[in-house]
Amino acid sequence: MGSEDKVETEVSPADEETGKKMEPIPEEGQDVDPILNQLIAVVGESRASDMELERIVYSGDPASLPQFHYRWKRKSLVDYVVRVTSVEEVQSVLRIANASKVPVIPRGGASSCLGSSSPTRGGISLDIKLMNHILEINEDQEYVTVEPGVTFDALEKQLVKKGLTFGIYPTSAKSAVIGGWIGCGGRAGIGTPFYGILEDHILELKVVKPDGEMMTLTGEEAGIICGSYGILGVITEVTLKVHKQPENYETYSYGFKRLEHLCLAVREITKMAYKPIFLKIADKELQKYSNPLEKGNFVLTVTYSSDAILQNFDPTSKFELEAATTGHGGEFLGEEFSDKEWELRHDSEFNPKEHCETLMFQELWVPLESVYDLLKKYEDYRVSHKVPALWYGMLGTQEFMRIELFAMINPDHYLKFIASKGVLHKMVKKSISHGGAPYTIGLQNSIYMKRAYPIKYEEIKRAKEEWDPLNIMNPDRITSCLTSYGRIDILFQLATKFRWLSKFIGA
Amino acid sequence: MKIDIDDKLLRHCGSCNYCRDFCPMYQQLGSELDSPGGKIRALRAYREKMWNPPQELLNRLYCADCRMCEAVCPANVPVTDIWHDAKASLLNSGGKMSDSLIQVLAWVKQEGTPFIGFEGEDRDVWAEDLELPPESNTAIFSGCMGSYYFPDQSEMVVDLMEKLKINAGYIPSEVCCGLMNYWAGDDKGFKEIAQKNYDAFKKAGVDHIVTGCGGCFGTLAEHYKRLIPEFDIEVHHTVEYIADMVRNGVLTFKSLEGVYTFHDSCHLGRALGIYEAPREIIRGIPGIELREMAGNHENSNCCGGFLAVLDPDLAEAVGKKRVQEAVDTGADGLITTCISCFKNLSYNARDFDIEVIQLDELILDLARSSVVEE
Repeated sequence: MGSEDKVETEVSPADEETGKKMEPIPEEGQDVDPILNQLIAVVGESRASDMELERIVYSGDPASLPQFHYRWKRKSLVDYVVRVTSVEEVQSVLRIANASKVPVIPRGGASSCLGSSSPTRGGISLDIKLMNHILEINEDQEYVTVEPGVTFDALEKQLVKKGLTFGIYPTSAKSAVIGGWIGCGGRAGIGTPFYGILEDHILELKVVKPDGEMMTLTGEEAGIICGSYGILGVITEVTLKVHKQPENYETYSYGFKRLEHLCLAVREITKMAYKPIFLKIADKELQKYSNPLEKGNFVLTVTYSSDAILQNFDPTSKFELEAATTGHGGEFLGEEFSDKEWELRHDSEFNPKEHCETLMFQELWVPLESVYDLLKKYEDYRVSHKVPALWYGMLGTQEFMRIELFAMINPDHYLKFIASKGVLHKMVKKSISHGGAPYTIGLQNSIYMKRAYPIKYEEIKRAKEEWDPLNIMNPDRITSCLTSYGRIDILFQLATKFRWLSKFIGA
Repeated sequence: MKIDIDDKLLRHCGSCNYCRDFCPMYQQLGSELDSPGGKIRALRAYREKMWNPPQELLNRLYCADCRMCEAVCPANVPVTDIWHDAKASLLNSGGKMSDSLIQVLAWVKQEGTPFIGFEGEDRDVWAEDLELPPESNTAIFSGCMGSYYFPDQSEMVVDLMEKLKINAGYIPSEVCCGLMNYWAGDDKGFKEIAQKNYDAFKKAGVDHIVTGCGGCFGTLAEHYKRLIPEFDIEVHHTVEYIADMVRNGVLTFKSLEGVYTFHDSCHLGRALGIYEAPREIIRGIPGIELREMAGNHENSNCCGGFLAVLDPDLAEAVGKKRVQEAVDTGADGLITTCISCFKNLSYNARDFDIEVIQLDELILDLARSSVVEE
């Protein structure tokens, strides 16, 4: 990754077996920290803290990975937690951080994975969730202006009262917030195949730069904030396009015996005139833990809104859906199963967690024409490397699908853990070679950024140099990372070989 | 202090944070430190890294006990059990309860009730003129609320049992069910209470218990059975009996015109899955329109009653939010089955134009002139 290929990690000696190395933590009650004093002066004592307990809570994200996984981080705990409620507070906190060269880790719903909001060098966890006001709903011109901490649920409740909907939201909408989804790119969500991706909905963004200056961005300028993971500044206000609320949704689920038939059906559905709100595919293993399949090995679920139904979904079109699915060997799974799939749209990716200690995963953004090749490869790894595999896919656009590959792992089995990560690394490489990329970047996938998104990488890098020359905003991701691609590649290749060998030695 | 609990339970949490925005503690306090997912992250970190957990972690584990986190969790993490086990472990290794909780538990030990100022000898005053047999195979468990605050409810249970021709009795030696001890993580105190009550029941020949209190019902039906392996007594809530009578046409009511909404008690609903019985009873009243709040059934928001022992202001804020939800339905009245919920909701409805009604009392009023088939 150019200069970012350098290994910057300064791993202190740790107990590699147990991962029980304690990170030095300043004792509480010692001399009053001048930075904390400044932060308290801005937000008050109740919303600024350096309490160890609170720092632990604010340093995590949705990844219950074993501690040895984080050994490569320089400093995995933030130094301060600050909860802001206004633009002025954001500006003041960033000015303090910039002047003191203290990293700032913006934190929204903390529902994004892969270390998007967890620190590498300590710093300030900046919780924007209390900035959760809906500032304007314009029914005539169909837009809404909100603060970044508004949850999708809260927004939808207010929009519905006026016959509107935002229409798109991540599967993690129960905890995700608007600002966080913008930071993470917002490409594959429920509704995006029908209404378009999040970037298409942004009319205006207000962002505070690290020096405290407020920027108002539109068009391409706003686009660069999408998928920047908080490394450029803090979003403080968003104006978004909204839509008329559909009357209802209809969901149809089909079971398939063969993967290639499932993938053919998906491609045919995306070519139809009417676009789904939600299209999900999954293997039998994942379904086992949420909505178990009785027919077939793979499931395809597709949901249409009444808009699509009214506009295009005439009896002829319904026949077209039948042809695309049952025509490829799919079997309709019934209304009850289908409705439950829609009900479980937020939960199905997390349901397997009930049955394993670590649900390791990798998210890929894959061209539709390559979905079969990639899933076939992962199915092969399931057998050849004894990977306890599950997978899930969700249509993002008419051309790309988010594929989530899981491995159910007991973290005490270090070799199996690292080897499964190796297999997932191979899948990322394969995805890139097929025109795909890792989906969520966050901390852990930053090593792939330059290879997977070379144009976006250059754009963000230029913006980073201009906006944040001191590199205080969410460091060590997107345009730089703590370890190198080469190092990871060698490590995971070795680990994968061990996994392959374990098939013969029974480890 | 140390956290000596099953590590696997903690690891099943995926930190998706789905629970956070549904948690009444987080809604009021706004810190992830008060959200279930955040606290599990902290427990896991202290458990795995062997740091010395701070007293503040124990303090934060005391919550509304509403179980909303469990209802929304996609991984079915047993949060309530984790809180209980972690509290017990921290208390057993040097952790301290708050002074107010210590006082409450001391009163439970001394007087058999958590209501400071009320005395154990007054517990059965409500039953004095009712000539209930002290020995019976069906015992009415009045609970502390039913004994001290709302004796009408206990009398209603007696009335109900008579109508059903069940020769129910009252065991004068009953003490508090121990819910407060269990919630506090005071395993020793809870075990003593549970054993004392169980011994009293067995001595009186009890094989069925009927109670009108959601908290007592949950504690007896759920926790006693876990603690006492030989526990073989069937525990029922009054709504189950009443719903059965309404269902079979044994109990009918005079009409009541108006729009009413219903508040699900956390202990009766999410803890024990009783959602439909009270609704069947309400729908059995001619003229009544039952209008659900935005949060209903397993998504019912907590009344905040349990928080009164921790922070009355917090309890009030949570209670007012729930009352507002009821007001938003446009209902004339808010019905609940649980006396604790009734107590907190009626207090917090004082500035709203809505009447809070205890279901048992409503039933009793309307059933008095109803036709009860023999």
